[in-house]
Parts: sequence; C-alpha cells; structure tokens
Amino acid sequence: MTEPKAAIAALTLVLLAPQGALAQVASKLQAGSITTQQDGEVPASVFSVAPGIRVDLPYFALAAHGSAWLTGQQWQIADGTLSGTLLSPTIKHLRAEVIGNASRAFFDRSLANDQVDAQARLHMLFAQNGGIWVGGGVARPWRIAVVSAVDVTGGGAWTRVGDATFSGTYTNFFFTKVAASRDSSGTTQTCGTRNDPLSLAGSSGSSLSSSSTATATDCRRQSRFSDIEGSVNWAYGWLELTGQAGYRFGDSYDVTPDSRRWAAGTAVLWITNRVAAVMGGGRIPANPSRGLPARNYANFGLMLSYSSIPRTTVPVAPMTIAAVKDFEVRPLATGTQKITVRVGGVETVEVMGDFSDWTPLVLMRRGRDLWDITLPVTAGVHEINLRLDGGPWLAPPGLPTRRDSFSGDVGLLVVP
Amino acid sequence: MKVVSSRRTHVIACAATALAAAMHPLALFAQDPDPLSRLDPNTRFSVEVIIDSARVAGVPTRPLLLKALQGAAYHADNRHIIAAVRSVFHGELDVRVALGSALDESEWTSAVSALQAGVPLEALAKFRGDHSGKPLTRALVVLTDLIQRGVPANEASSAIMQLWQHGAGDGDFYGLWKNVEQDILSGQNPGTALQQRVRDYPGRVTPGSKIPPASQEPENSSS
Repeated sequence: MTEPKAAIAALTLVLLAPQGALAQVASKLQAGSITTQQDGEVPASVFSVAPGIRVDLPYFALAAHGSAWLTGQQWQIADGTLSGTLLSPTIKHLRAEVIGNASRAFFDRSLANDQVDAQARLHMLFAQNGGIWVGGGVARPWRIAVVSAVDVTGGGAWTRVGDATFSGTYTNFFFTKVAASRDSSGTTQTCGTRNDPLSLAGSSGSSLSSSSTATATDCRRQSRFSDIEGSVNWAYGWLELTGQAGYRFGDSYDVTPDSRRWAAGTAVLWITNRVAAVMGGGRIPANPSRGLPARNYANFGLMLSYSSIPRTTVPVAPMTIAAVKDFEVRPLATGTQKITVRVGGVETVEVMGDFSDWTPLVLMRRGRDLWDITLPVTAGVHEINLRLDGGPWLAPPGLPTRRDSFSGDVGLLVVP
Repeated sequence: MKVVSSRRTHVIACAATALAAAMHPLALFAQDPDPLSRLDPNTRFSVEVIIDSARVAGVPTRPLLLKALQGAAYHADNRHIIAAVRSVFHGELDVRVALGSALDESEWTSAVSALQAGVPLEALAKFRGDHSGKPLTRALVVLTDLIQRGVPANEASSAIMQLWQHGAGDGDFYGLWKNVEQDILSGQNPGTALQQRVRDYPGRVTPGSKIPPASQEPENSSS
C-alpha cells in the first residue's frame, strides 16, 4: 500500500470509528471539486477529499485536518494541519487560550512548505452576545526564503445578532525574508539602510541555508504587513452562509497588488443533520510568510458531519440553559433512550445523572445545532442534569425539577 | 527507501487502529467497578457506614450510593456529601413508615424527594392503601416540582392527593404540571395557578378520567 493510500485508509478508519462519550469527537469529510487559478494562468481543477477530526475536552481540544487531491490518476497528499488548544476556565468574563499548530501547505510540487506556530489569546465576553480578544504568537516556516520566525499579533471582536455572527480581526505580521531587489511595481529597492545585501549576510556568518536559490540581487528585508478582515456567518434553518472580505496594509514591497483586497463566500445547505452540500468561491490573498501566491478558487462538494464553530467566536463564558431550544428523550426499539438537545453556539454539551452513576457523558454533535447521545436508561424516575461548555450543571428545560441537596436543581426524568 | 515507507504505513495504520479502539463504545461505557473510590477515604468510610445501616434496616441502598456519587460529581465538600446521604437514608426510613416497603426503587426515590421538598409525612401517608397497582412515581414527581416552584406544600399535597384518589393517571399529572408551569412562567401566583387548573376540571376528576386536554405525553420533551 502506498503512503497516500495508507493515510487515506487510516483517516477513513478514524472517521468511521464509533464516536464516544468521554470527549466530544466531531469529524467531517468533505469531498468535491476544487478549481484554483492564479492571475494570468489557466484554471486547474482537482478532486479533493478533505477529512477532519476534532476531539474536545472541557479545557483541551485536539484537531487534525488535511486534504488529498486526485490529479490525473495519482493521489497527492496536500495540506495537513495538527493543532492543539488549551483553554482556561472563565474567570470574571476572561478566558485564556493557547493554540499550537503544525501544518504543511502544498500548492504544487515545487511549492510546499511546513510551519509550526504557537499563539496565546485572551478573550473577554460581553453579555454572551459578543466579545473581544487580543493575542500574539510566533510562527516558524521551513523550506521557504524566510530567514526569521514570523511574529504575529492581533485582535478581534465578534457579536451575535439574531442568527448571524459578525466578526472582525486585525492581524499584524512581521518577519525577515529574502526578497527580490525590485518591489511588486518594478521599482528598484535599495538594500542599504534597513536591508542588508545578501552577500554581507553570508560573510557575517548568518544562517541562510534556506536561501540557497537566492541571487546576488536579493536582499534580506524586514517585512511587515497587516490584514483587516470582516466576516459574517448567518444560519437560517438548513442554510448556512458565510462571507468574508479583507484588506491588506503594507508597502508595495511587502504587499503585491493582487493581495490588497479579497473576498470569499461559502454556502452550506444541510440535506440531513449529517450531510450537507457545500459551495463556495472567492479570492485568497498571498501568504508571503509561506511563499504561497494569491489565487481565485471555487469549490463544490458534499460534507459529512460537521466540525466546531470557528475559534474566533468561541464563547468565553458558559451558555445558560435558556439557550437550549429543545430537550427531548425518546425511547429506542433497543430499550435504550436517545437524548437529543438542540442548542447552537456551543462546543460541548454534557449530561449526567443516576443512570451514568453521575459520570458526565458528552453528547455528539449531529448537525449545526443538534446534539445527541443514546444510553441504556431503565424505566422509572431518574435524576438528570445538563451542562453547556463546561458551565454549571443545570436541570434540562421541560422536565420537573427538585432541589438536589447540593445547592442546585436537578431534572426528574420519568421513563415509562 | 521502501523500508521507510513501509514503516510509515505501518505506524499510520497502527495509530488509526489504536484510536478507533479507544473510541469504541464498549470502552467508553465501561462501568466503574468501585464508584465510591471517587470519595476521599474518610467520606467513603462514613458513606459505607450509612449504606450498611440502610441494608440492615431493609431500605434501598442504591439511592444512597447515587447521592454520594452526585456530591462527588459536583465536587461538594465531604461534610455536605455525608449530610446529603444521611438525609436520604432518614427519608427512606420515613417513607417506609408512611408508605410501607412494597415500593419499587423509583417510588422510594420520588417519595424521599417529596418529603425533602416539604410534603408532610401525614400527607404522604395518604397515598398508602390506595395504590391499586398504579405507580406513585409521576404523582410524587409532580408534587415535588410544584412545591419547588412555590406552591405551598399543604395545598400541593392536597390537590395531588385529590387527583390521585380520583384515579388520575400519569398523563393527567404530566398535563397538570405542564399547564401550571406555563401559568407560573406567565406570572401567575403558583398556588393560585394550581388551584385554578384543578378547579378547571372538577367534573372530570373522576376515576379513569383524563384531566388536561392540552398536553399529551408521548415522550419527555420541551419545546
């Protein structure tokens, strides 16, 4: 078995594996066509299979996603990312987040590189309907003409209005790169004052092993640019629309004209709670720190299951039980009970009760706002509580309640 | 080169297999063989003493175990856990006095809950003797909830007892609870809401009748 085939088979096995109750495991598999086009070039289409899996614990999340492209008769492993996130408890509306990523970006056979990065963010929530965050981090790419780590700082804000979530981010990138001595408009750049000639770098003993392809006309240069991006996500019934647009600030040396502004959109139409049709398109700006060019893209395909909400809009305080739109317990033919909770905008939903010996059980996400778990629950009266995003344990709505001897309420579930 | 590729393939396959096995439902739903190990040794000892007393007294022990586990899950302090377990034990002894021992586990639990919510022992005792094969559970669950929502214990006990004696079934009690809950949420006084809802169906409170027309109970749900 070849390596790409083994990886695809392994990912399929993971995605098809029964998903469990100790942690929230969300997987998705997207398959379809992707067409990309660089300015002035012929569009290229590939068939892409993109699996992803995410394991969420109350204060830790691990995610992996990637894609494999079928070009001609050959499978090619394309992008891949492994990321881990640590979340602190929420204290006085503040929550800290530390994110680490290792990723591979593949554009074509001649343009692929790897990167590890780490970021820390501090979130502050305002009344459950909005929040801000600030943060910073460092990224280290390999196999491109960048001779320093990339410093990343930024912040963002988000708010919910009805079924829509608006967010805006500002991100500043700062790094040293080996670049041509002419800017994107063709103007000659001097490599004197703040830009040292490459030859001097070699003689001073600086490490430039990654820039072996640099010519004598290249410079080492401090690059700095900033992205401002706004996005909106709107969900109505089975339809989810996401749009984003951005603008890049920076001088012409660092920002090419084709990456000054961009916009993209995606439509997700849920056919069932676990299957959706996805269609999107737009423009992706260049990523200078990784040497990836700007390009237009269009994609359409099918998505199975669903991953979590974007991290930039992560709630920093637990949702209240009032956010639960529906709580339902239905008997199954097998003598078990299926507990279904409909609540949006959360990352974990847990239940516990006497039927689980008061051990928390994580519900599975089955759609945009649908969570469920199937459990053996005997006939009789059972005490049950519900928790959203690691918040307090509360009685589920729609059930009779009683005081639980520990300064809280507990729901009373009567199974006939 | 081929050896390296084969090793990588092997590693990937092994990792995926291990992950799949770890997520298998049987692994996830494995029962804790010693659930009381979640308690610290002193608390565990006290809880085990109470459970032994319950065993000797002939009342159910599982509700006591579950109360201790609930306290552990909430990270309650040891004193609270022991007090809560002891309270359930005493409640079971009172329930046995009021209703006898011929109860299933759900009836034991719901009767203890009713007593702890404030139902007088004499009021609970009135449910004895008119059992006629009907489970008490739903009536007591609704009674407990109504008291918690602010209906005076005597009024709630009297109303539920009245319905019980007139043969109200599980659906009747569920419908009554749903209606009263809605009235309370809309701002009505809890006691008044209950009296109004019971008064609305005076003629229908006869053996075998169905009280509320609005709500059926195909499953436990909210909307």
